[in-house]
Amino acid sequence: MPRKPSERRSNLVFRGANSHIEGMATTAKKTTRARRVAPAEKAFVYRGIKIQPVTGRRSPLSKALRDEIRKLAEQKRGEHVPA
Amino acid sequence: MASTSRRKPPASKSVFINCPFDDGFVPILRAMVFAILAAGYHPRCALDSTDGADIRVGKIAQMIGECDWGIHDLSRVEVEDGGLPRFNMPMELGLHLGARILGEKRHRRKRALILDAERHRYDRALSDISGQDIESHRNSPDEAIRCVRNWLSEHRPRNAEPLPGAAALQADYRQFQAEIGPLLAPRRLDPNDLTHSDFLFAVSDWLEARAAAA
Repeated sequence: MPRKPSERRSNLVFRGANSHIEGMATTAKKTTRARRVAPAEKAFVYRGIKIQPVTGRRSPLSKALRDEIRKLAEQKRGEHVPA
Repeated sequence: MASTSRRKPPASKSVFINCPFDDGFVPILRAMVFAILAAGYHPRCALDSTDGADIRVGKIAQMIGECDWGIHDLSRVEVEDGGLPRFNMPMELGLHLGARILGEKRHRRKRALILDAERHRYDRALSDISGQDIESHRNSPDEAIRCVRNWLSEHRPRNAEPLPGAAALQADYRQFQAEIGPLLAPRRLDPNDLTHSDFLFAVSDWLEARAAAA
């Protein structure tokens, strides 16, 4: 049965890419959005060996250490690192 | 928020570590973990899920099942005050060998590296394991790196990239330790204070930064 024009319009409005996220509970919504926004950790090659990133949830200390390790490596390469 | 992927690594790239988790063994464990990560494999151990708390045998068995590789350190199987040794490590080695011998087809490719502090000590206590890959780390982190690297290298597929040499990994580990210490000092933390999970991420991040610099 053909839908009324108003129903079709509402489908266009609410069936966007994030429509299924909108239906989630707040915690799940936040988690899903954060995961989408987070840059994916990628494999890298170290001494000719492909290394997959470690999986799991990082602690705040681990996140801070990652930033400092990267900053230290950039300093060693002589790149300018803003304070 | 960082990536929170929890997908388990494939069995062919997973190395189960069966060893004591007391403070005295931390330097050896950390050196082995570094060597495993730098060789492109994933270390798995009871600390993955509990960070030190007791873990049930069912979970250990599941983890062994999910890893084609297993390192079993028997160096601390010694008679304690109560007159009995700790049987956990030999029991987990038995689970690993049992899975390989009696388990499904996929378990037949399992490999075990058995480590001890002294060469041939096992002859007196566990002679049934003769014929396995048995090495001695002499309680030295450098030796532990060499044992793990050589064992992984020996059983790599023929078409795989050759692993870096033991001396290169030992030097890298020393540099990692030299660089991570000052990063933790302002927080009044020692590298040995890092949880197992934080240590894994720190090694991975350090290797990635080094790879980018190369």
